[in-house]
Amino acid sequence: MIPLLLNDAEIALDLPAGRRALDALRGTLRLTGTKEGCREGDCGACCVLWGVPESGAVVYRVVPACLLPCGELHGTHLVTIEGLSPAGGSHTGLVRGGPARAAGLGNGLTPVQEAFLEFGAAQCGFCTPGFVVALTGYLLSAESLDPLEAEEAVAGQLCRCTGYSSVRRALARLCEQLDGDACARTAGDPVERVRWLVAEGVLPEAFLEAPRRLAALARRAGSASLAPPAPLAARSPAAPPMPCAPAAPPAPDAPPIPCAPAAPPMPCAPPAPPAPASRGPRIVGGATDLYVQRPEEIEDASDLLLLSRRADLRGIRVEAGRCRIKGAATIEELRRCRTLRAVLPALDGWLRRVASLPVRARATLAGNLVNASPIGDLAILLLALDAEVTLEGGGAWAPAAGPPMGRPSLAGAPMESARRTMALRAFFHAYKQTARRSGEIIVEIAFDLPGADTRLSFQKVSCRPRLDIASVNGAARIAACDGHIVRAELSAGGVAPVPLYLARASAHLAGRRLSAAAVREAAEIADGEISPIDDIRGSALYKRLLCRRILYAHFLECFPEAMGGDLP
Amino acid sequence: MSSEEVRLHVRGASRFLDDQPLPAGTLHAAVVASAHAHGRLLGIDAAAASSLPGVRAILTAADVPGENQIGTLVPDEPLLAEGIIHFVGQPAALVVADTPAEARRAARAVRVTVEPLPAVLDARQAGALGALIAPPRTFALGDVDAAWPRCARIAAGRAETGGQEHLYLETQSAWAAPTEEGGVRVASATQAPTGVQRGVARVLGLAMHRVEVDVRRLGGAFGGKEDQATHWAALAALGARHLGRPVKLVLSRREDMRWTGKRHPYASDFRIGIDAEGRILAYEVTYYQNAGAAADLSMAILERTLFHATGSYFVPHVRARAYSCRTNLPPNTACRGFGAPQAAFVIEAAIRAIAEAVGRPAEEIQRLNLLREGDEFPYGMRARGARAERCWDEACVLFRVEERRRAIAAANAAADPAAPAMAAANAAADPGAPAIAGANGAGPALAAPLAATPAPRYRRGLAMMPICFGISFTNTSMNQASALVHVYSDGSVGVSTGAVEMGQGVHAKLRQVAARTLGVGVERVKVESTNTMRNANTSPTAASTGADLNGQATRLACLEIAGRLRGAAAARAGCSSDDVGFDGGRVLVSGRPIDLDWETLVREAHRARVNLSAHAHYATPGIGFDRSREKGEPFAYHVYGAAVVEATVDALLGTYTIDAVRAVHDGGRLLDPLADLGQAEGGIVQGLGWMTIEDVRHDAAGALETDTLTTYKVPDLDFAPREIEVRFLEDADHPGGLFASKAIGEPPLLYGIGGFFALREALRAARPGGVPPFTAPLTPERALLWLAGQDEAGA
Ligand SMILES: Cc1cc2nc3c(=O)[nH]c(=O)nc-3n(C[C@H](O)[C@H](O)[C@H](O)COP(=O)(O)OP(=O)(O)OC[C@H]3O[C@@H](n4cnc5c(N)ncnc54)[C@H](O)[C@@H]3O)c2cc1C
Ligand code: FES
Ligand code: FES
Repeated sequence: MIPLLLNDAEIALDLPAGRRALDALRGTLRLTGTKEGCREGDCGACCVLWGVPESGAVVYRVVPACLLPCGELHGTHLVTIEGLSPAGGSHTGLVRGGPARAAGLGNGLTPVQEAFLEFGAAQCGFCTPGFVVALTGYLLSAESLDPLEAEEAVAGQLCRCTGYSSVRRALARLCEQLDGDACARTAGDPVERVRWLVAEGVLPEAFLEAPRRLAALARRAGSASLAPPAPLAARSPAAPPMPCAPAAPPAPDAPPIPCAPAAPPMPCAPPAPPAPASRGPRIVGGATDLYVQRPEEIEDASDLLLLSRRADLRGIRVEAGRCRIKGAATIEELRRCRTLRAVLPALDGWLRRVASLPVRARATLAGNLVNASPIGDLAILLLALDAEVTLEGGGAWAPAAGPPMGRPSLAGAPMESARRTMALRAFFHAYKQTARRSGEIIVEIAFDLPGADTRLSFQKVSCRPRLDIASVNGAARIAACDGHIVRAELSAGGVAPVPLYLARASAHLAGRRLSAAAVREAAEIADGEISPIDDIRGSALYKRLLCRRILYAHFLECFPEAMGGDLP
Repeated sequence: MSSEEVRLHVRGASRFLDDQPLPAGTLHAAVVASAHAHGRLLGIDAAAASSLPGVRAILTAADVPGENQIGTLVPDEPLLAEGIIHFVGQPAALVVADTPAEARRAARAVRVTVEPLPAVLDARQAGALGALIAPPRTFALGDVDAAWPRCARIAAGRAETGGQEHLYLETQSAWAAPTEEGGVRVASATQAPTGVQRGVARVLGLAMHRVEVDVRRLGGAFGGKEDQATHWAALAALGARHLGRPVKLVLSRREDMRWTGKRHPYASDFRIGIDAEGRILAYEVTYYQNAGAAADLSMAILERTLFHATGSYFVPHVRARAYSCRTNLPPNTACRGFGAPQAAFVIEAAIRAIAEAVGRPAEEIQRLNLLREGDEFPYGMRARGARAERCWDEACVLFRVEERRRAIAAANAAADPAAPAMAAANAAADPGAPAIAGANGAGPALAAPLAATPAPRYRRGLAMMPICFGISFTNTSMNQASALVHVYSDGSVGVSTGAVEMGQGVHAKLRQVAARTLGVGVERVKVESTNTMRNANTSPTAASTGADLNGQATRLACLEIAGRLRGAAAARAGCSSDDVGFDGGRVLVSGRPIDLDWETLVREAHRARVNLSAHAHYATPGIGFDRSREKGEPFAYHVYGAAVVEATVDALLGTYTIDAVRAVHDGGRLLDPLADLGQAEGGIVQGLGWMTIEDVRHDAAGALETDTLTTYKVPDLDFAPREIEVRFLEDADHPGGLFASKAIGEPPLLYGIGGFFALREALRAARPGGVPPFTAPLTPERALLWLAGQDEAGA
């Protein structure tokens, strides 16, 4: 049984943990306002608000229900379009299953809904609930009312009818009409924010009671099985101040953070054989990749190891010039990380080009690495940054025949832990094969922050500029001094079976004068390092061309003067 | 927009087919589709599949009680495959099970044995092999052969446009239940309820009156549910009939993308000649339409291509020839524009080709040749109420086109100091390739002072795109509609027509028509679902005619009731019924309200046994087309417009943005300004997508590679131009139109073609002297390969 608060009703779902929330809503619960457009996270029609208890408040995120395992709903507040409509229906009829509809929907509209109505931003209406939910989610988390940010919040919603102009007008009006001061005043304070939005009529009153009801739910269900899932970012009590995380200690009923034994790092571990097909519970990060690549492995599964439930895997920490990203940290957390933003202002823009906000809110960095797609954006970025990954548990000490890992549970029982840390550059072995051993979990990804003499660049070229997988992507970390390249680290994706570190091209550049000629030489060398193939993302010819030009773009963006002044 | 409909949408309360509560006992179907593009069907082995849990039946062609055929124009499309397999995705068997998951699992376990035959995927190749859907057709005007020698300049070339996935967000879906008398009730996500009714009746061997089809609303259609919803409805009906239980069939996104047809790709050859002033004297064009494996609506689409061969222009000497080529792809089908956009692309390409040949701006040639009053189309009709020049000229003034053009030229010129940077990039990128900005190593640009800012990588382009779109089904007999209007005794009004609501707002328009004609508030009027029992023999909601035809029928029915009620009111007020009118729910005599309101009048009329219902029929007057001569008056009227499109290309990476689309559009007197604006904006973005990033790709074996939203990219909010400005012509009443309005659905899509040509201009600015091919979609890959001189033409 999965107890949760659905709109304004407490219910318990008797479904496998791996079942998509979308199927639970549309099928089991007959709440059909949430639409299915693709089942792959690509259209946004299924977006819901997912509220996770966090230090006395509930923090809401917009997520695609088609990629959200029911197991994640445990002890949380799930809000659908039905639950957002004023005088929303009482869903108490759903408590003990049985087909029930969203009876008694209110007739009034929220300001978000009004804006859509006024500007004709709904035509066939199929995409509309997703837009309304996404925009409401924006209002729940916005730091200020900014039409461009509101656009960003709905940028993952596809609409085939409107051409989006009416949507733009609707959300501009919304930002104009709501009280900007109140928004600023309540920024970062989820309780006050909800109060404000309830007063504005954006949210129904049920939201006011959600923290209390979730706490009660947790008490009733027994806190042991109800560990709060990942907050936007958590910090361990021992950690030094960490501006990325909300200033909140972990919820009181969080499970104790397992103290990882200091296993010796083993950076030179020999390549492990590919992980055999699912032994033991399936490790789940954001599930964004799992549902798309291997739906049959997860949809009916009950034994999921939901990493978001492990407090020790949450958060991003920046200290002593090093950034440590925990194994369950999401890409959106990274984008929102304030300290990182201060050091790396461009990061925000780069990460906006990864998937859509609802997907980023679920997708983890670790998942991006383990998934080992040759075109993974985070893998490419982290390769240039010379990140290290720390792996834990699994079959590290247990040969293939032995028990793969400790007894799994939703709450994530401590595992037989062996830890090793390795360079990401040694992590990718072959197509979709990594150094990770069966059952091993990435617990941390770490890299050094760039120094003053270092510039970074990330380039991604895809058919559609946003919400698309790259044809070729590339990243560069270049340290330069007095017109000379001290060190250059280049990576390229989509040009090899693995996310590729361009070792030779990088080495070539070290010590050279910053010049177009040097870049040209490096591009020549890189061309010998890559082996792109014709596929749906482009022809091999195109990818070769892109790889070279992206390399050039790095330098053009990082050192425009040097490049300009040094041309042949 | 219908606030009522949108109110439901924004609250998630509107039910699409898949949202309808299911009657107990409903089973679920899944389709076993061919994995081969062409081959002999040797056998279907369902033994393993039928023993899987939940499976109720596995049906094949042999189980079809009626005719195993759903082809509408030509009987060449079996419901379930027999004998020969013609395309990947052709339905071969139907599995019915307790749940959708069980049905799909079993469908995967059905073994279809096929002996492969060679497949043809390319239209030109099929044409060369003589694989045609129908005999080729030729439209001609003047004497093109005699005109060539008189031309001052002639240009010839090729133009290609790709397919387009409709990407209605609601996938194909249907539900069918047996009725007590051996018939079947069907809920279908279709634009053509009568088409589904006919198809189901044919397949089940039933009279049409035993098949009821009901459509509440569609989650988008764009032509993709005009002919191609029938297959799925007929399959559901087959299952229901066979098992005596309701059966539901909803395609997954991937199934839908793989199995259904798209916009027709076209390959075309053109030749164009102008006189010394730039007037087009002669235009010859040959179209090879990739029809896919069955006729579907291809012949009608081909015909519309021919009707629109000369686009927005007058050309005195024309020969347009069209081949509908049979290939081993899923049958391509109606898609917003219905063949007209493909034709418009070719004439626009031809104009660029000739303009570039004589070194003049394309806009000069375009403007000079716009249609004028009385000009003859190649099909013999003359332009009446031509507004091509008016739209163009207003657009130029309103949107300050000259100023924009100069600003773009200046920006591109200013980008030239970057030439060395670009040249370096180019040299680094493609040894041996021509330098991007003409400066390879030591060009003149080297002498220019080097900018201290990043080299301007960007080039901009602008294009004008005039449109002229004929309104009416080109098949004259389809230009009819009926309406059934009931005034209930409490004064409320119910309207039933054949018009299907799919987001275009037709129900809101019908509501308005009824309210205006009866002189009551719109809140009194409800538009019912589209149902074959209330409206028989309806035409599909297509060809932009939904509001025109059904609105006129609604108006006629309401007029009839209003006439009877006027009589009743006149009897009561003791005046002539000619003096009676209705407005705002009040009864007027000689324009002045009397002490009688609508409700009272209706109640009393009912008591007096006045008929408060009416059925009316409308047939567009004055149209007809003689196919033996290829001449006639196929259209009730034309819609005109002109757009200015701007684009920017990153000459380093080949990526781009469409920055702005601004259009002056002739919508007549707008019936529903918000809905019409939404149609225009949505059409523009869909057209842009078709021209740029929407790339339908099949592998060599004929299987669709772009079969998910991950691999097939439609415009998202970020891609859609930030600036889309649609100004409707003012004082543009359309005499004879429904309340002086004009149709809106399809024409604006053609503005998107301007996106291609604006981008092409930007590319030309980045590689002066180069001639980008007329190949759409102009994906970032094509753009970069061309910039680097590595496209097929340049390599
Ligand atoms: C709509 C959509 C758009 C996308 N766009 C992009 C994009 O633009 N760029 C891009 O790079 N990717 C994109 N992706 C791919 C995907 O979202 C990312 O790769 C994501 O980072 C995967 O993370 P996850 O947490 O969801 O992984 P999951 O799906 O949870 O897991 C993926 C794999 O990693 C394993 N795993 C997860 N976490 C751990 C861990 N901590 N330790 C060990 N094993 C683990 C899982 O067992 C599984 O095998 C997109 C996906 C979708 C659905
Ligand atoms: S259904 Fe498309 S994102 Fe979930
Ligand atoms: S309104 Fe139809 S998809 Fe957005």
